[in-house]
Amino acid sequence: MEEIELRELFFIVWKKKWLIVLITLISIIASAIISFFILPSEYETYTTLMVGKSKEYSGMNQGIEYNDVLLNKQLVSTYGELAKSRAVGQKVIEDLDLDMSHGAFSEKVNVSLVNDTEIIKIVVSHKDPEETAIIANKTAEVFMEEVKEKMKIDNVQVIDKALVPEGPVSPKPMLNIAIAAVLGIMISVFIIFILEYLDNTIKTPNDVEKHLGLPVIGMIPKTADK
Amino acid sequence: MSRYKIVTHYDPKSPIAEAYRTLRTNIQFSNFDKKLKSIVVTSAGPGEGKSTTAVNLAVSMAQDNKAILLIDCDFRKPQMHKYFATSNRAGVTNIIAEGMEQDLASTHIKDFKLDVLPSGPIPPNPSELLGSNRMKEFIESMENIYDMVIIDAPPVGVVTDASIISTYVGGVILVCGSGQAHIEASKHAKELITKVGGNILGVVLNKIPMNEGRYAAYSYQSYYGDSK
Repeated sequence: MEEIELRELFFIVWKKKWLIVLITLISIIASAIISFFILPSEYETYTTLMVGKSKEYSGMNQGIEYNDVLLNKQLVSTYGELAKSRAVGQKVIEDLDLDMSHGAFSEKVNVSLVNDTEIIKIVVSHKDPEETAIIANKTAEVFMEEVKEKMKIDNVQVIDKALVPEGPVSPKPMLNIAIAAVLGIMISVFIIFILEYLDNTIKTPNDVEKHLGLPVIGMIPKTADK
Repeated sequence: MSRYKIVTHYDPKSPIAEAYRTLRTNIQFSNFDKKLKSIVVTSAGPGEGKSTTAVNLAVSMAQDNKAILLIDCDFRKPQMHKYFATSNRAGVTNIIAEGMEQDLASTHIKDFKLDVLPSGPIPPNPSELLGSNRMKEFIESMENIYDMVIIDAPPVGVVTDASIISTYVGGVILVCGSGQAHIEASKHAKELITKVGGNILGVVLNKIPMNEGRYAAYSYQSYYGDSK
């Protein structure tokens, strides 16, 4: 293997700096166009529900019992699965007259349990901001009815109602452009090294001596006008 | 086209002219055992700067008060007459084919103190003409008259002409365009010449991009101050 100096590596890249500029610019412009004009905007909002009602606790003199909390915690995972169930999804779609399948719905609605708490979080992402909030609140509502109906207990309450989101969560044009810029630079440097590797021409006196075994008796600089 | 290409004459203080003078010196010292009287300039491929090298080498040698004859043996694409803006109606081919006198065919270029012999009319069989005994004898007779005979030839990797010439001249200069001459093609060119017993004096690395840092170490300094 021949040794390549760091300085030489730099000049290999520097020599083709226009290629880096070009490729990076193209990828930035492409990602900007895709982010601003092609990718649909997605809005996101969430509603949080808590398992366990204040009246349950307040009904007892000693306040919050440890067992109540423990019970509720165990219930939370059951409730979480219930919230994800097709029964809930189907009902929300029907009630809101949404034009989507259950599969599409479950992609948009994400039910998660906040760790070690009694809180269920329903996150909805959708292309229309107002509809996003409506779906979130409707899902919470249907879910609570469902709990009441199936479990015969009414111990779920809404903490935060879903708000209409102010701005889209995706696409993130600035992030996309930054990623495109970094990728553009990386790809162009990669291309430059590939080109350099594939370039099998004689460039320096060292190349002449190494490949031809002939002495270099003259080195003529390039004329400016040719 | 001639003005900027004959840099040794029009801009003798420039680094490029200095580079040609270094080449001249290197050639003078490359064969001190036997007296070198004739040189053929060739390259692996076209457009690497054979003719420009031949012309500038001839001019810088003439500046050294040597009697120089520059012959254009590129019968396929003759160019010498263009460099010196002379006629190509009579030349080497007339001498070899018709027995024309050399001093009728060649032109003395006063400004350059140099005799230039253009190719003449393009023959149908350049390789045979170059390989003929008359051609060899002609070059020998010229070696007796001049201090140095410099021959411009077609690319050796393309046609056989240059390797034929190399059999009866003192030395061969292989011009390689930097970033242009392919390694394999240049190796092949070297083989073609050495196979017929041609004496390669060395390589002239041409068109070195000087504004790039990696070549900075090779750049020439002008010993005469500013080139302008």
